[in-house]
Amino acid sequence: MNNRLDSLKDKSKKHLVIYLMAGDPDFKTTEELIYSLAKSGVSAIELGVPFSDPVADGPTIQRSGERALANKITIKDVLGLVSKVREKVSTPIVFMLYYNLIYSYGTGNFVDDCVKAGVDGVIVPDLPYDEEKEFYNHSINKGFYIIYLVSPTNTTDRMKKIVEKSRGFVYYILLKGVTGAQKKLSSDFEFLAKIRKCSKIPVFAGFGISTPAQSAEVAKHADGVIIGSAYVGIIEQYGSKKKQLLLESGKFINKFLKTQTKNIKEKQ
Amino acid sequence: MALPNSKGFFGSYGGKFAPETLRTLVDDLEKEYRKAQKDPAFKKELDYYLKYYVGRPTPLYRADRLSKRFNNAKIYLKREDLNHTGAHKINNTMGQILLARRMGKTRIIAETGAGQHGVATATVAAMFGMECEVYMGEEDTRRQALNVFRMQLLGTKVIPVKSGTRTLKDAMNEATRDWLKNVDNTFYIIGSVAGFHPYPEMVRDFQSVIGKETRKQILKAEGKLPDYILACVGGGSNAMGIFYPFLNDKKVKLIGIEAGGLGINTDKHSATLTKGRTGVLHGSKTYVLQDKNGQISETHSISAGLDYPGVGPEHSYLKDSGRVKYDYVVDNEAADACIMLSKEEGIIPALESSHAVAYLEKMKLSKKDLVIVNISGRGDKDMGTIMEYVNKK
Ligand SMILES: Cc1ncc(COP(=O)(O)O)c(C=O)c1O
Repeated sequence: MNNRLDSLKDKSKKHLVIYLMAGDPDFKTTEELIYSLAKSGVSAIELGVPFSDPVADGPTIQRSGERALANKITIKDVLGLVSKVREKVSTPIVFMLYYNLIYSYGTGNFVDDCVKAGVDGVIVPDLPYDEEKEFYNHSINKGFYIIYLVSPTNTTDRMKKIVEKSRGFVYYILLKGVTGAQKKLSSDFEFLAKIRKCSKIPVFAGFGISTPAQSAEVAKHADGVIIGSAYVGIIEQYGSKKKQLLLESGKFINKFLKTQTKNIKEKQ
Repeated sequence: MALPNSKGFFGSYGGKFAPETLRTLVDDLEKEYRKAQKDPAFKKELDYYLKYYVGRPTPLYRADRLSKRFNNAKIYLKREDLNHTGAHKINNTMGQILLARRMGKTRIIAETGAGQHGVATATVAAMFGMECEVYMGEEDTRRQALNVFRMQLLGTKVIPVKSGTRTLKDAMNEATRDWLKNVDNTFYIIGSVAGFHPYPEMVRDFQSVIGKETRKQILKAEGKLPDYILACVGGGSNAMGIFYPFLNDKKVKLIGIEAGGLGINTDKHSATLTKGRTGVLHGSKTYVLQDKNGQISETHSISAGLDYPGVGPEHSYLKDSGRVKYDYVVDNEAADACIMLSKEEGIIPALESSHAVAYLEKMKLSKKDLVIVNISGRGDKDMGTIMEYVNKK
């Protein structure tokens, strides 16, 4: 069984994963942003499904979710969107959402419908690796990847178990706190190195990265970086001025991709 | 078998649905709580403060005029309104702050709806000289301005929450976010039997002082156990507290009363166990009021303390098992009960507790019935709301 996320094992480059909320500023724009992200060469797209109570998110992504909720976006809508973009896009796409949405949809149906639509995996910030066995087993059976998060506060013992259960990649949370761009990053790269040693799959780091320079720094220690709030900030800033948004989004991605490539070259 | 199990489940409800960053913290809290449970010094310290600072034990009062009104059924009131700060909430905040001190934490955070839990937290934080910040929905800071001032007077910083529906659930979200950022020095005092394990168990244990006293008091006064115990259910802590020591006394009928708001067939109520379905909110699997897509509902109640879309997981378990019956009363019934008890007994109950009092009207009581109503708090904080209600009538 092939999963598009397996492409992330490619070690010849540092991967860039971009997060955006489905339906912010509107559904049509999300679709166009996905085309543009795919074309620009990001390694994977993390698509948020809005939830009324996003405890792990900072203000930027909270606001983005509120805009999407105002547009009445549901899981079904986002599945439909992925089906549609799959006609043109082969970039891995994962959902990021809170567990109540999955539970309410029905865990079995959720996995089946994701696979059918071409969603490759899911990140659920409030679901520990050792809860909801049925959801876990069904995902494994269907080749659908659950990406678990490791926090700098985790014990080594628990980290190892999370890494063992994770599929596609391991999501390392760079900072104690919620999502949101930070001016300064103070991260435990030693723990990150330990995680990479334990993991057979790539380890990507996210939460708080806001500039290409920070991204390049983190990329020295991880297999890839995940950018969320900083990118969502662009969407918030340009909103429904669609042309300009696409332009600025392109510029933003290029800046990050460039430093990342440079980083690889320096290493070689 | 004692519940919850080792993973924090009451049957299929509960658990530790916490973001990983909180995991070590919540695990540490659980370990520390287990140690404290076994340590006689902890119990001694808690008992000391409950007696000399909180004013326990609270009386179990035989309400004769109330009894007469209900066909001479014998009705007793458990007077949690006589606790320091005016509600049962301080039983729990005292327990948790002692635990926080044992863990070497220096900063306290809490969420609050009506402000009663916020005040109870601010109070113990002041008494132990600890830094304290309380998250409160912006909407609630306006509805409960006096409690905001009380907390400030006690040296607590009140942070208005502007996200989501700007009420209790959002305050809980924001307090959780604070905790995620400040895992090293901060202790989160959750105000009800909700949240991730071990909170539902721990808060129940701290609140079960209510039921333990009640049991002794009713046996002494009547020589037998009651037929009914009534308590209001928001998150469910005063109800769990009084029910818990009676769970094995199968003859004692336990009834939890939720807020029916403007009616349970409107979208303006908080009757989670009556109208909700299983979901995951604030770290535990439990009944939740939500729409068909799993978005958490906006709730309503005349009493801010019951205005919450979730409920403690143990209540979900007790509902399914049938051990506790859950029902509701609507806003007007609760307000009328508040006025009625004030006139009959000279006791002005909190609007939350008034829901339990109002249920007496629905019970068709007779002379042979022995009933206990938990008066979880006093009504001073609700005078504005009651005034408005009376003027409208
Ligand atoms: C007096 C009083 N009773 C009851 C409640 C509801 O909480 P719980 O259901 O946890 O007892 C509150 C909450 O603020 C309260 O202040």
